[in-house]
Amino acid sequence: MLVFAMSQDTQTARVPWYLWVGLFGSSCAPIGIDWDISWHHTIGRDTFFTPPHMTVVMCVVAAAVTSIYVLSVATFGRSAAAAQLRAVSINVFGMRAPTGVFLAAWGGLSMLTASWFDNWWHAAYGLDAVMFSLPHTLLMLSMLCIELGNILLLVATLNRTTLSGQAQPRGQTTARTLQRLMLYQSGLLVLNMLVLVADYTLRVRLHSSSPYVYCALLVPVLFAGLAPASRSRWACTTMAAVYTVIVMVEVLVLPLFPAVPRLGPIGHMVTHYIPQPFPLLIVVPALALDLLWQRTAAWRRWQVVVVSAVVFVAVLLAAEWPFATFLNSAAAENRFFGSQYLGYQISPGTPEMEHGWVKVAHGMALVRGMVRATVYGCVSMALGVAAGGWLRRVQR
Amino acid sequence: MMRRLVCMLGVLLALSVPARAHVGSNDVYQTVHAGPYQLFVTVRPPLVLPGVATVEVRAAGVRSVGVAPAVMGYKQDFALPLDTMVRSAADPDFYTGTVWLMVPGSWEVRLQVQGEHGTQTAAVAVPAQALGIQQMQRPLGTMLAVVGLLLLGCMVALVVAAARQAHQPPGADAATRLPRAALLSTVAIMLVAVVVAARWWAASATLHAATIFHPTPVTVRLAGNALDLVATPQADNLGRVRAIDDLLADHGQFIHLYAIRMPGMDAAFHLHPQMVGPGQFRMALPAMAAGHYALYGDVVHTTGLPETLVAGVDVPAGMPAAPLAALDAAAAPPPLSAGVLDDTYRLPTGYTMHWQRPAQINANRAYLLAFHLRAPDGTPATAMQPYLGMAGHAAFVKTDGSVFAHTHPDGTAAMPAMELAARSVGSEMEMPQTVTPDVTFPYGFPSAGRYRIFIQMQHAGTVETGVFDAEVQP
Repeated sequence: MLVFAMSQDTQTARVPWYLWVGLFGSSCAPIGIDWDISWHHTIGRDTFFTPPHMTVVMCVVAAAVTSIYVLSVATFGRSAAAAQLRAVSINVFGMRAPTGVFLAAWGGLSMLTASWFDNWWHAAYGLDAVMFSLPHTLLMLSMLCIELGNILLLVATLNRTTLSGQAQPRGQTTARTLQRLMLYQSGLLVLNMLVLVADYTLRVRLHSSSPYVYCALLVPVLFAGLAPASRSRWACTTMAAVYTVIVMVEVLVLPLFPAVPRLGPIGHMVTHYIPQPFPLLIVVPALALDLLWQRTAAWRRWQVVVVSAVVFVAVLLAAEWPFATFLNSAAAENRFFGSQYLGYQISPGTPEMEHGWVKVAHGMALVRGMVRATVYGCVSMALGVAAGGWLRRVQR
Repeated sequence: MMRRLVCMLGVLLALSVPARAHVGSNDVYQTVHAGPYQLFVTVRPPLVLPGVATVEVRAAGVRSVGVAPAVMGYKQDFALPLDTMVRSAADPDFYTGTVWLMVPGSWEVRLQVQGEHGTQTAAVAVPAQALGIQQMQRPLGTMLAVVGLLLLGCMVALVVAAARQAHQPPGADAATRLPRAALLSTVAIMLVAVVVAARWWAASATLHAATIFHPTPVTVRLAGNALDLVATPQADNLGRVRAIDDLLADHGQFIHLYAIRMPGMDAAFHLHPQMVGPGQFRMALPAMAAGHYALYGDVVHTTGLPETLVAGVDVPAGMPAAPLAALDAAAAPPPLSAGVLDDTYRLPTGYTMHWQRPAQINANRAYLLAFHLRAPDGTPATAMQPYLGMAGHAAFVKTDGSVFAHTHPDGTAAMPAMELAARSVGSEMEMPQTVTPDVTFPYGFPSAGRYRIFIQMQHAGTVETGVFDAEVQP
């Protein structure tokens, strides 16, 4: 039964407008964060009202618009559409809305509270020189809740569409649209997660263990959790492609805009926005997982978890390690790969400037690192599989 | 790259263990020359670092003023681009701007002035350090706690509701049992999150508290009239030790010591002990009335960073006395309890010193405070001479002892620091060629209350110390 994706008067299936609004907000969050990081690598100092910050704030605005509308209609509405919305809602303290709306609303409120806390934190302890302060972490977790809320809303809609058993051509079109939107939203989540560990996955660190450990910890849970609910054979590849394309576009576009440092000391002068480094080759293990999971229907769950984690780490290492050698060479210093784009803080003589490496792992150290990555990958994958099973059955 | 920034800041942090100029008087009030332009600059450093300092410039006959900060002595291949300061619509000679100060230590605020005499530059030395942690206001704390608890409760309710209903097909709500596992695990996760956040917050607060300035401990020993001051550097909570063996001579002296009898402030001395070792100063005290003296010793580190060593000494009755050195000065004004001193101070030599007192003095407002030395016949004093290289010295001391600032006619910044700052923009400090009996001191009182002001000027080899009281309004 396609409930609120169907308009009663025309029987034309369509995606509700607030899903688009939520998706817009979700797009603003990681792109705004990426832009903000670029701002700090290019200009250095900021205020609350910088364009990147305002872009991130749009995530809260979109969540507020979506939540207020859906909560008010589903809770207080008397129309047939409201009744339909109520039928796919859960009840929290008498308020009614789909689970995703509640989660996005919670994330928005939490983000506002964390912003207030962050403002006081700056006054009490100084302006931030680190990404991971307590209020920043609360802000990022709140943002993740908004994005997860949007995913829940999309997944519930998609599940109802596909579980309805109706094979209307228009309904299938809507299901495909919902599926694409859900995969796009999931790709944004991958982007968001990898942005959080950007400092640990820098180009000069790609011959150490830490990038692979962080990727194994954060990415499999998203792939295993979101791929089943999307019902796409190429879910992981699509999610990774969304991340890859967005970062590549940033690499191509941001340097087109002039900017100079406004905070010292300046290690080297930059004259335009500095983008994020070229994306990690997550798309390669993603493709491997998609191919693997098309052949594991009969496997036990633990077998899927362990083999998937091993495949993820092994393929990522096999792809990223040699690619990092190329990225860290003069050959990658061009508009496409962007290895020459370094923040103004980087001064001559540093590994970034001199094509050097940080904490290179060899021999047993590398083996230990990859074992650690695989163990984390198993935990992450297991959590993802459990979440994926739950998500696939969500209808409200 | 963010890590790189943090590392760079960490290096600077390690290189520049903080000290503090003056006591309780953190803002810098300075007059500087940028070529032919005269600028009255006020810099108000932030309470915590990294933070934003506000800069105010008063300059006549200029079209624009640019401002940028730099760490004193830190070699930079690329100078920070200047920010154009905002010109006041109501007062076209007044400009405001901000600069970011990232680490504790000695900074300079560079100014570029454009006007009818072309483009000129100047720099003002600014010491920066974390002075405290702003406590969370009770209403804000209450509100955050309430909203935080509400959010935690809502999350638990949301998880429980989702566990009960999210998998139900559209339609009426089916009756379900309370999902105890979801409830308990969510509550457990929330509790763990709160504990982790609280510990994280406490660790951050401890780390920041370690960066707050604490004065170098000074031990005082008085044997007869032989005064020994020993400043003993101690490691702070981050393991950093502020050096004391790196002092610059300021007006030819390594320490300028003010001794003020408390609580009456009825005896004041400007003394210059000899440095006999790293952080060790010694002198034979002149005749001093018995009592407890607050000691404020100004020193300047090679980085240009000034520090005021604070101590106290009890002078016994009948202490043997050495003659007051030619470079030293003394005053014996009426005690504070005798009432507020007026604008004219009668000196023992028959001269008078007059303060052109502003109609009202408000805290944190920049003033050019003018003082005039007059001969016994009321005419301007003649045969004026520089005293310790300056036309005058001033000490602003709050009567509760919480504020002490030793300043000069150019301003509150330490002269060696100003010399370093001037050199960094390719100019030299101008020492007074001619000294007049009319001297002005740029200063802003940091808080409301009563202050005693000690002004020193020299004529014909005699150092005069005028004393005045100021009632500062909020």
